[in-house]
Amino acid sequence: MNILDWIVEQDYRKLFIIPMVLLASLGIFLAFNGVRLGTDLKGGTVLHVEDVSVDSSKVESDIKSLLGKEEVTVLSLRSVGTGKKGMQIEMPPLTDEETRKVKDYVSHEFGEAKFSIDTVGPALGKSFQGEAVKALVIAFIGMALVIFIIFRTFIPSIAVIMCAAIDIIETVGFMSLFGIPLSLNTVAALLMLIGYSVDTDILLTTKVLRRKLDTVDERIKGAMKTGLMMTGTALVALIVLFAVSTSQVVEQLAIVLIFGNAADILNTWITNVGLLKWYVERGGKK
Amino acid sequence: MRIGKLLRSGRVIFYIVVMATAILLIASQGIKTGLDLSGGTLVKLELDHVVDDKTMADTTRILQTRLDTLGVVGVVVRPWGTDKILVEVAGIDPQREETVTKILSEQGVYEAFIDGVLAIKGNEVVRVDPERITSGLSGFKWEVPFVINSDAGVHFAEVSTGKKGHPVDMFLDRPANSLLVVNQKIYDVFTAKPEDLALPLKDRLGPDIYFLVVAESLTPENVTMLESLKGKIVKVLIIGDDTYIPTAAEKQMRDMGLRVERVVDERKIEADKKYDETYLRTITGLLDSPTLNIEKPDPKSVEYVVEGGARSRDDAIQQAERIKTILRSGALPVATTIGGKSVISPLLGSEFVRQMLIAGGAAIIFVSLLIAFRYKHWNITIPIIMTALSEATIVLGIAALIHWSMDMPSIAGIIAAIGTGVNDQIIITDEVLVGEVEKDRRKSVGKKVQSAFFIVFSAAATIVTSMTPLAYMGLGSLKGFAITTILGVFAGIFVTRPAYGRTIEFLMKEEKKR
Repeated sequence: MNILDWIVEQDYRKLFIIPMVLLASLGIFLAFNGVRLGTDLKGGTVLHVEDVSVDSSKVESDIKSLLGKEEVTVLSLRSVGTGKKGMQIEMPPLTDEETRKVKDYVSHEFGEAKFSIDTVGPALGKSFQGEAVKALVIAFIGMALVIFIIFRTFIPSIAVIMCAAIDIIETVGFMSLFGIPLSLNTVAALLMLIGYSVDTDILLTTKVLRRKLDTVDERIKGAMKTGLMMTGTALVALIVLFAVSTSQVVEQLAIVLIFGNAADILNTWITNVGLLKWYVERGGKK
Repeated sequence: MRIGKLLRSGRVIFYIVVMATAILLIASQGIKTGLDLSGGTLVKLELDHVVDDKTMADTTRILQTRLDTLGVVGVVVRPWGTDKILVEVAGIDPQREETVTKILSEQGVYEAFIDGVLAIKGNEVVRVDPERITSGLSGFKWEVPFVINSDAGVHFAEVSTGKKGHPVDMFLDRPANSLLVVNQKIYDVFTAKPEDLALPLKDRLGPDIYFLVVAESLTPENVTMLESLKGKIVKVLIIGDDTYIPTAAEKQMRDMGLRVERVVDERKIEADKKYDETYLRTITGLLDSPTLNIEKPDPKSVEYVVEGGARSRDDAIQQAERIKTILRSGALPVATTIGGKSVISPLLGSEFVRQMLIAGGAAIIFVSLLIAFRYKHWNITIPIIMTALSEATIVLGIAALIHWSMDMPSIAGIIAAIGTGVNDQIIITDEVLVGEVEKDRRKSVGKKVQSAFFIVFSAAATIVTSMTPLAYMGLGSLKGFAITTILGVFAGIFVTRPAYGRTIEFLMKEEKKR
């Protein structure tokens, strides 16, 4: 039997348990653990060096003694796809003088390196935080408004909006779980996720509510075939991006979207489908 | 194949025209990359509070003027949202970075000199009024009225008596208390006598700027002179690179315990051009020299006007704005602080671009394979992928047209747009194909494409609505992302999607005929 047939025939009230458990566990974890802020949002200095192999613990202790500061983290990065290596040093916000010291150390140790240094003062970080939150809230509200205008029915619209919200909560929960920081880049990823998330939900809702041929189950199956293909192509592209890049920025963007899209599969094809079926079976009334 | 029929479709023609234009634009204008990709130094300035467009424009202009006059070449100052300013410095030279940082964090000093005598100091300017522009027979006349305090009024009258027709030299950040070390050629330029009533530039700079002409290394006389200047000067400025003044001389002066800076300007003096204004301006901070137009100044007067003429109204406004900036000592309408700094080595930037290209290429291959596997038809796969690439091309074309610099967030935006683009293509394709095999036979292919477009438009409307506020809200950091996403989605909706719809209709009809 086809997997799609099987899913559609299940009692959606039972299937509901899967996304709800995931949401509850990630949500609770997030509530307790919080999410780490990236240096661009909390303030700090990041030095990124490309194409070097490093002994990160040695670099870490060197820089700690160089600066006389304890809050220094050195991450060594490695691209899965190309085997290229890099290093990232995260420090508290440095003065120009301190930055120069660290730069001199790096060029002394690794020669004329491919590097970048990024300093964000705490105040600028605060301002970025504000921007990030504003961006997410406004994008979300904009999305919600358009969804209401398109479908003009309460429950189906709420279902779409809810799925997007759950996608975001679960994705941020996942970031909390794996220590991926919330930065301007991952905020961009979450913004993209809003777009990807509603794509499939709009497809589903339109097919179920606006088409008259076939049974509801058949329409859901049709939408699911298309929707899974859509998410599939996105996932393939993102996995490739993740594998090839050594850039922390790109990797974080990709991994956040990979998880977000995976969460979206569950939420669209179980949560949203469930809510829609329930709505249609009640006779399509508000 | 009746491919000719497809090519005659309006939508396909429109698509081809847009694509050709985009490619031409990219080829002719090139794509500007942001400093985060091409390498350089980014200084992020924070304003004290959110400001309106006018204040933002004033602030960036003043900063740009100060940086330009101080000879820092290749610096771009631009607004970044409504409460931040981005200063982009080409290159990662620490010395340049230091100079820029210093200029950005200090208040400018305005001084006006008449024949080398200080006439007005910046802190004596009480008020600068809005410019007046009047049109006359020979073009446009601009006037900038300003008010100085009463003591300054007396002093100005004293200094300017009998100087009608002489230039009033307006300096911003004049290198006061310094010694300019120059070679003979530049010294000749400084001492050349201009044709009008003005003195040679050297004698107009004020009494606290000294000159030293050096050829190869310091002579004993030079050394004696330097020793005697020691308490009077705060720094030594060496003008020109080591083809002008050899490094040996520089070292000698450093060894004497002097603070030495080298002012290197890419603009060289042409041998036959005796009076190269831009070069001298750069070195001395001389911004403008309007001619004094008062016969007998009244010591009680505190109101003066700087005036000039221009051929067009825009030029007049621009010149007046510049004078206003100078008179206000480059004082900023809002306090700024350096909030952050990024230094990206050009090597890393190009590495990043390279990686993005590899990743992009690999992603296209894998996505094509997946689509081909699903639809089992290359003549569907190829149009889908081509559409996605076209959207990226169109966005880049628009970026080239409006000289938008592509930075990392902008690229992320393009990726987002392509992603939703591929999704839309899949929706359209499925709508057409699924109907084909199942019961929906009565519906024409065109109708099916139409019903797919409902979903496509809805999805696009959601993205555009949620991104538009971001593009306008003055979120400096995510603006590029929002703009390229919107452009990409629009390119999809208005150009590529209709063409794709027509193509798939055509392909299906061809299929049916077989």
